[in-house]
Amino acid sequence: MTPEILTYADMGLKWPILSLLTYIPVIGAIIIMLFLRRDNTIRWFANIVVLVDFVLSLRLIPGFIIDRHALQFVEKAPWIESLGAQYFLGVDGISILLVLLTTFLGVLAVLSSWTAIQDRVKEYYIFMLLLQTGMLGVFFSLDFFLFYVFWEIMLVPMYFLIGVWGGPRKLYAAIKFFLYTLAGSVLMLLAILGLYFLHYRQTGELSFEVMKYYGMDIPMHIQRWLFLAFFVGFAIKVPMFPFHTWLPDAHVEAPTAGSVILAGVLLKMGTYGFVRFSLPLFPQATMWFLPYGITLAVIGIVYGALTAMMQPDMKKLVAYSSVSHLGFVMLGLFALNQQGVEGGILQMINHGLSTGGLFLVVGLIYERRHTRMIKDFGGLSHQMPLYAIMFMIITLSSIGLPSLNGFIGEFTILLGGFKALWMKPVVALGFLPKEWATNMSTLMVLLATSGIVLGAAYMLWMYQRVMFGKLENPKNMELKDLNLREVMTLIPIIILCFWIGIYPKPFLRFMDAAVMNTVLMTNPQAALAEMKQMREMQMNAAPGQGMEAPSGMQLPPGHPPISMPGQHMMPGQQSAMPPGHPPISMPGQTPAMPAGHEAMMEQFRAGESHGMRRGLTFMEPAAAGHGEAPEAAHADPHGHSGDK
Amino acid sequence: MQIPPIDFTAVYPEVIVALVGLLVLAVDIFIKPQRKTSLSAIALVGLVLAFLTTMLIWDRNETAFSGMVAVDSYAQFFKLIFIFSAALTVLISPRYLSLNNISVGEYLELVLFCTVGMMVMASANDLVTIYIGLELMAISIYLMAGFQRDNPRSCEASMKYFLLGSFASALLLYGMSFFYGITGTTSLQGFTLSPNSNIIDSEVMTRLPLVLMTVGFAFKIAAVPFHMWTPDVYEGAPTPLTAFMSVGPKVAAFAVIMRVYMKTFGALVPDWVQMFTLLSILTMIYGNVVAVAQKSMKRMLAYSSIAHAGYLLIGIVSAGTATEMTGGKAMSATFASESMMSVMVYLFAYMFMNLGTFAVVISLGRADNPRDSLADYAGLAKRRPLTALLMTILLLSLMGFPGTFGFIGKFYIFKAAIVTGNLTLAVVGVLMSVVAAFYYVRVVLYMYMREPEGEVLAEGDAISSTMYAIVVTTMFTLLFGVAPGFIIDMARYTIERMLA
Repeated sequence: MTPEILTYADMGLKWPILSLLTYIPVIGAIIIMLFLRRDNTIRWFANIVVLVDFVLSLRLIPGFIIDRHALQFVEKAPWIESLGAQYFLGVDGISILLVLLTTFLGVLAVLSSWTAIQDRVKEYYIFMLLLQTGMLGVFFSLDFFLFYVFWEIMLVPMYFLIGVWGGPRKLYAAIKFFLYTLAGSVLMLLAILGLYFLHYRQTGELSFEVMKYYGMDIPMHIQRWLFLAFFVGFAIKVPMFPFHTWLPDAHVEAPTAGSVILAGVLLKMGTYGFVRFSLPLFPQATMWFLPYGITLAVIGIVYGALTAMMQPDMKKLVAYSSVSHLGFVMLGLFALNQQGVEGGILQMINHGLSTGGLFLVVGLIYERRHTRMIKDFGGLSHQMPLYAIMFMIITLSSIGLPSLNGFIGEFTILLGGFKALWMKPVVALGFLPKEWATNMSTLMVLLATSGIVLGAAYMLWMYQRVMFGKLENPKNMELKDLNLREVMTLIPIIILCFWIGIYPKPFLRFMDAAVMNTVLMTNPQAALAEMKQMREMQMNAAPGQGMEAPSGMQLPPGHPPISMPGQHMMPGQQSAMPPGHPPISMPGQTPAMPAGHEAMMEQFRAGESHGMRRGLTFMEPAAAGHGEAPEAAHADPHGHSGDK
Repeated sequence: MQIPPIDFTAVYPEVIVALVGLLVLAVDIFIKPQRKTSLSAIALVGLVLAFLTTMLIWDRNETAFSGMVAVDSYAQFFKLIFIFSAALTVLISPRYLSLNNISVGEYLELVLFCTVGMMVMASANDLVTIYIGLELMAISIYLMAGFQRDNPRSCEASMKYFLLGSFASALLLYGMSFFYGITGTTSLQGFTLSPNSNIIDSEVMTRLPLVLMTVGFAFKIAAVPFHMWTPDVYEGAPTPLTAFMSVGPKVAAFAVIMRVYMKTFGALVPDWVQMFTLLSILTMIYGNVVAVAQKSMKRMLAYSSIAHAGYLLIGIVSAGTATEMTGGKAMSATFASESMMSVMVYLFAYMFMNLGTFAVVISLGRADNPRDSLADYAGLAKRRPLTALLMTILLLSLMGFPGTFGFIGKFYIFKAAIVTGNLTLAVVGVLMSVVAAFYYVRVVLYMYMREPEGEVLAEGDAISSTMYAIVVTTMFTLLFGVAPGFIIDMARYTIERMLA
């Protein structure tokens, strides 16, 4: 199931925007390296570079097609021809938000380092910019070879950021970070090569193109090994429970901006890897691994939360809270249904915002006092009221208070979890009694929910110890409240937290079609049920009433309709949308389902795609009917979560 | 008896390098001591000429000297590597030689003769030719290793290498004589030329030359357990020579191994695949793990070069396995040539990155103190930012980091292993490259993140021929890391013609 490919030229752009986004930072770094000498000039310049990058990345939004799954703004050129490696960049609904998050946090991280970094300023900004390039490259690459190159290259600047500008145990933390990640990724490299070879065997074509591997028929015993190799690579990055030990070290030792990027973006690469690669490439192996994966995710949630509670160091506390939050993301992804995966992706963004914000907040106080120990503080709210307010909002966002972003993400994930029926494959194989199918997912979700409660406990407890009580420590008497630059770094985060918390639909709409596609490939059963419901809802609902579903794409006024000559289209899709028909929704028209899903459903019924049929071996068709009645209310995740 | 026609054009590069070697020796007598650097210039010009003539005969595909010498692009490919490494060695030497009062003339002459030996090995089509080339190479190196007569370490290195080297040569020769005894010829096509068509199966003795020759070659590539000489010799020898010897003989031995094992011992694949698999695993594990414990850069690089031989052997094993693969003759031929190609690309990459790294080690040395311990690298990034940056890139390349030539080499090697089903080797290989990452990254850590202890030398990125060598190797490492297509196509072209 190859999604359609729209190049940047198809989308009405004159220049390759993704390459620009990726290389503007590295060009900036080269300019700094060669031409700039004075520290302040370098600071200004680096800030401008990331700001330009961010503003440019906003250009992705207006032209983005949200009503069907397509790879957009694509750039494709042969690179190493004898190997079949391509220079293939593109974004789709899964990656676009992460890209925006990356450029957004890049601006904040660079801005926040203005006074924090006084030593070896030039090198610092060079590495920050290189890191930005590496991260954007990872999210854009749709060719495995290119992906691996960016995935590894990104390690080097991060290694330097931790190792040079880090805390007392920086050398240990830096090398641990480096080796852990490398160990995971080399195994992934072997798995990539394995896939490459299998694909060559089956088609006779040398290609590293990710989308070509989708729907490949991989024998189960091979699939398991490949899945595990990818799993280790991504799970270390996430980090999932037994692989998380590098994270607290790296976070505690890294400079503030490093922590922000590490928590905000780097960890997301692991979860992104799961959505983009592991799930759709190895659907059967994913099913096989589900019980273990879920268990690890839930252990991560609870363990991370409990450990966070005991930390005397604020940064370490936030680091362990990351383990817990990322456990939620994994839980959502493993739910393998629309809500779960969308919640997971949204929670990636949320975690990037709130944890990034928390690290910034902790960094602000560390810069003033050079300590992060909770016991050194107390009563700060008297001295720094503005700081206290910002800290509070970000804390609450991390806890998941309704009307803030964390709530939406966690709620959607848990919703997906309840519907997931994780133990179904195990039950179907006869390992467990039948009633466990529902009980286990309920149990897992309940355990996960305890993570939210614990999260509230450790965050609020920390906040209370730092902010309230009497201002006793004389060193804290002199503290100054935030200055304008510092407020500027926090305000954008807070705005976004509220925005996602109150009206998440614009964010969710970006990913609808892409997530649907992923779910369809990994777990067709759930996708089918989802589509069926949506259609029923559509039939029952009067036009323009109640629920809102993703409508046609919205082009800016004056934007030419997009023509798609010679693109990959499924047979069914053509009937749903005649070739000449511009896919722009007319006012008054109510296309309730993302166009193309109808076609996918048809295709699924016809059983055309081999890749889709595989999933069926594990789940009885009846699974589709499970829990239909309660789900009617939940059918549309966005309308639903938007109501809260 | 009729003397066969002698075609000197077939061996132009060898002839030119040998003549230039003699010229250097002659000029050395008449030239004033303070103008000795012009000798390096003569040597470089000679190497450029050799390069040009190599390109002249690039496309020929025949044998010369009654089948003793193969004139094919496979040989020329390796000659290019030797010429590059000799030229880089000439570039990195002057500083070290003047610091340690080593006679430039004799040194350069030996480097050039050694290069001739390696070239002869690469183009050998007969066991006798192989042996001549090998001995010419080895004797030059025995001499060069002991160049610092006053230094006991240097003498020890020379003696050790000489004794163990002769022993290995003897074993190789012993194997060759068995080969002659069985087939009645020393030609590499021996088994096919023999009147007894069933010779492989009928003779138990056919395994004997295989084993003995494998030992001889394993010694030259420093595969575990035939590596014992490596660390001591590398440490004791003059550093530019260490650089040269970590690349040249190894590459030459691999050139011979690929030709001999694929062509001559093609029928004994199952036997030698087993041997090389074992050697490869041992070499990778031992080399990488022991390198972690080293405090001296030279010793660390010695062990790392042992480890690299292990990776290279993966490619050889894959080539062997490929010839046995089911799935059609065309497929197995493709995979075999792909595997060999991966070895050739890796060797090319290895030449650049290893010589570059050694050049950095040399550039740090002082007359009174070689300064090759890890602690000497502390804070290098502040004293010599450019050197530190280039060293970082070279080390990342040795590690096999994407974006560098080293990655391309490793990538193709592992690809070959996966494709031919050598999963164990691939897994051991990647895990060991993580171990390798530790000791390479540790150097980076010292350079950027540690403050030097004791008195700090005032030094900068001085412009010198050593620095040129570092810059050139790094440039190539990056260039071919991003755009490797050219080298890959070249290697593939040559290997396909050789195997055809």
